[in-house]
Amino acid sequence: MLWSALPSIIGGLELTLKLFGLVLVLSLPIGLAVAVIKVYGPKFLQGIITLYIYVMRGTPLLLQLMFVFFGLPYIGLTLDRFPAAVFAFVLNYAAYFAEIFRGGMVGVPTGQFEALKVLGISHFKGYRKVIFPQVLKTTLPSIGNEVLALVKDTSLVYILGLGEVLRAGQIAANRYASLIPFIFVGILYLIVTGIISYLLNKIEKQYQI
Amino acid sequence: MLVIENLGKKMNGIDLIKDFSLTVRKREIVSIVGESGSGKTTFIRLLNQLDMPDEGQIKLDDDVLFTSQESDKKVNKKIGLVFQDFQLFPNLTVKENCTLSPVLNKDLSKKEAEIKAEELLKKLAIFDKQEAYPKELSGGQKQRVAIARALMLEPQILCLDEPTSALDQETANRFGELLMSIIKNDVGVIMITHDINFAEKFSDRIVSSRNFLK
Repeated sequence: MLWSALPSIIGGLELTLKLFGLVLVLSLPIGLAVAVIKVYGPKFLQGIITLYIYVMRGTPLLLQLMFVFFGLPYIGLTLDRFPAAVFAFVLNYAAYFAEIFRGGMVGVPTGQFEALKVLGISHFKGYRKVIFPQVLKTTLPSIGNEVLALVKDTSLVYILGLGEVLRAGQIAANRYASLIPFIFVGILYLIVTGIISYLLNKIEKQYQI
Repeated sequence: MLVIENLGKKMNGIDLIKDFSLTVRKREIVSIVGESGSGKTTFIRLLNQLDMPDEGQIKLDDDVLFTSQESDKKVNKKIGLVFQDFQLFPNLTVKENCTLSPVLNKDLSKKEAEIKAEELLKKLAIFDKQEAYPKELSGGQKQRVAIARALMLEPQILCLDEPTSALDQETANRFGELLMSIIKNDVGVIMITHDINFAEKFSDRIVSSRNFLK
């Protein structure tokens, strides 16, 4: 009987993974761009970015989700539930990724930049071939943490009435008056985070020079 | 021939180098000796445009490389620098460290750069480490890679910042002999050191950093 709850939970998983994938693919490059501006950009942009990161890290993601979905329509920007969720998540995660990347960037010794300069290598090329790989190597563990947090944070979109995996589990739990659907859900999360952890480990090993 | 004319640099409003002139010929090793804080490293940084001078100019033969007002990007290729801490790129192999600049700047094709790097690494007796990463090397090996990397650009002047600080006596001597062989290719060497014995043994001329302010 309980098995009949499984399809709806798996359906919820699909939304969870879609949200996770989209947010990750968008927020990583945006976070990197934000970090580059924060470290090397003009002063006024640095100020704006500092404020942006402060707001994103200083308020709950749940509140940000509600603000984007329920608040933005007041200024004429109405988004559907799913795009609203993606938008809010990308804003939030890009801020965290930016801080991680920024930490990695300022951690590269000045001497590396000077060595590039003495060798006549341009900023852009030097960044691509020498600096960024080092940033990536030092930031990968922290990025990995955020990626795993993102998988679990996707459950927050229940507030917008989106049927992600935890909400599907909740509905099934209510219908069958049973906690078993929550166990299903827990196992699904573990499978997903397990696969992601495995992949992250592989990537980290590749950069462990 | 490198000609440094009336070089001047202030640090925090105080003269560190003032009206300093020096000429370094091809096949010549000039050592600059003096205590810490006397401006030796600043001097090398000025030569490599890591800091800009307040006054004076630097010429290579008759070409003005840069003055306190203007600089020429090509300086990077004409004057090479081996940092005290080498600053090899940790994410690249020994060979890649050497080929990076000529390949990125399209001075050489990848193949040509590799052949040239291999020759240099052989000459510097570190060819067997060409696929190793910097962290797998000893201090002396890193130094030789840093020298190879600098020589890839065929500089006319090679600057060395405290080259013997990471070397034991025996390695330092071998390093001195290596320098003697490098200058045979019409390279001039400027080396900063506080190892006066080493300077006396291997340089053609010794200049005290006291002259920076004379």
